[in-house]
Amino acid sequence: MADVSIGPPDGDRLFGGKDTSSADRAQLLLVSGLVMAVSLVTLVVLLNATIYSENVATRGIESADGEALEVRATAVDGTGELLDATNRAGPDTHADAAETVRNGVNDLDREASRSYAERGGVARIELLEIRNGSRIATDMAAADQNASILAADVDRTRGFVLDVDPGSLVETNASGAVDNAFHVDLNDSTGGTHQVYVYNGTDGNVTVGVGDDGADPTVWCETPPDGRDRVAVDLTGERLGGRPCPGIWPTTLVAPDDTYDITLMNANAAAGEVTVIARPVSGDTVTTNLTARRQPAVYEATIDLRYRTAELRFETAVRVAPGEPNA
Amino acid sequence: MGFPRLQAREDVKNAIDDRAQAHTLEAFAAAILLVAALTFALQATAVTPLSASTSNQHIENQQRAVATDLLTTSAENGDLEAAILHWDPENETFASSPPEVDGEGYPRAAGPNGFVAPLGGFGEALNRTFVDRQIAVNVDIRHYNTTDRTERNTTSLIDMGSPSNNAVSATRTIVLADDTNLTAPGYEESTLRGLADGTDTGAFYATEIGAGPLFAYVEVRIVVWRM
Repeated sequence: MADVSIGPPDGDRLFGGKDTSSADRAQLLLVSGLVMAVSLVTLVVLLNATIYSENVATRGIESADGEALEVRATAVDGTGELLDATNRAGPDTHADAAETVRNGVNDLDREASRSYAERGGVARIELLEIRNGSRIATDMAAADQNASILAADVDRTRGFVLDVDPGSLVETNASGAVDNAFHVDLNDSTGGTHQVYVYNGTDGNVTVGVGDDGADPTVWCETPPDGRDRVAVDLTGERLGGRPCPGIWPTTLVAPDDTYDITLMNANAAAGEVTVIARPVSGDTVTTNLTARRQPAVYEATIDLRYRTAELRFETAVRVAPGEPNA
Repeated sequence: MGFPRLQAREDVKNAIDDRAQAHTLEAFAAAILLVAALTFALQATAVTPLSASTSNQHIENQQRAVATDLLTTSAENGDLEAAILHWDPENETFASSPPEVDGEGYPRAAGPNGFVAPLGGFGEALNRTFVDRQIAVNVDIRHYNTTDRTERNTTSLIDMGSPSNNAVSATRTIVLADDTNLTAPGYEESTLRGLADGTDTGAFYATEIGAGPLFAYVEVRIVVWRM
């Protein structure tokens, strides 16, 4: 009968006998390989986590900034439109105009509060200060045909727009413009004079030239009339026919320390309308030769703007004077 | 020599200890490897042009900045106001809306300059900035119903479909004065005040809620997303 009993453990068979040390070594190599693989994977995971954290940490800053700027734009545009609409409506007195602006800013505040509350923001717009001026809107025909003072002793001007009939402009060139063309004379009390000429240059184009101290002007911009009844020459906004025309308003008169006079010259060389809002250096009313066309107006308003969200707190005081030349 | 049998047993015991330690280490390493592989696999998903990722976030930021700047420039030069006033008060639709559209909205850009004819400079800017680059645009105009501002109504100016999950938006508030004229052909003489009090025929989409010389505040919201 065969012997099927279990004998004593055989160490050589179980542990490789004399090869035990090499088997252990192979196993340790395997373990080391695994550890290295795990380390590499961990490194990749950590790197990924770092990139993700950085991404999340830098996310949303732009949008938070943009929100404050958007509130500011809403307040400034809204107040600017309010000032212009108030002035266009022709208030009887400066007090009436101020009352309209005050009510309008309060309503703008209600609108902004309600609107931004939907996004979890608290907006507040308050009127701090108003500066008065005059709005003068006239036909060219009403002005003196040689020289007519539109506004005297002013230190700020905005919304100065000539709506000219292209067909009525005198046809001339730069050298002839000084004597013949319609022009606006800006007489700085300390810095000489500046002229802006509007005439028919070539092919019926509405041409704007700029000169100093009565010298021949330099042609600055021109635009074809394209069948339009009126072409707008926005002197303070520096636009011609809706297109930008930078440089037609003298830089020395953007924010001058001194006063200047605005005079319409050769008004018979152009037909159309002139609109201007000016701020006198003292008092509320601008001196002009065209007193019948002068109305009380609000020149500028200063508003206090506050906006607050969970992540952002923004407060600023803004001076609003739409249509003023850019510095 | 002493006890050779005991010495042999001691060797066997040491070998077993070493082996067990190696097994333990191996088990730990395997466990960590499994966990790491699982973590890695969970983070790695299919990347499509619309899936959230670092680059996608940058694109969203860029699109938001571009949309905000487009609204800002259009508002500054007057194109935006001209576009939202391109309203036919008798049909009560935006003028030149395609006839198949029920009431309002330009559903898509027809050709490279699809928005230009009805929307002027604002449409041109939208085309050049977004539509030519395969980016869809929705433009909504939101305004309150009464002076109490209890409810906000939305009028669609451009509707190119439902935005994707990666859409971004930008807004700009425009203030309309009483004496503002419409820009739609044939209605250039109609003012908002005239439409409200019946002097001019037809109706404007926004009701009068502004104080004094102001008519209404409308919020223009632009939503953009990649098609």
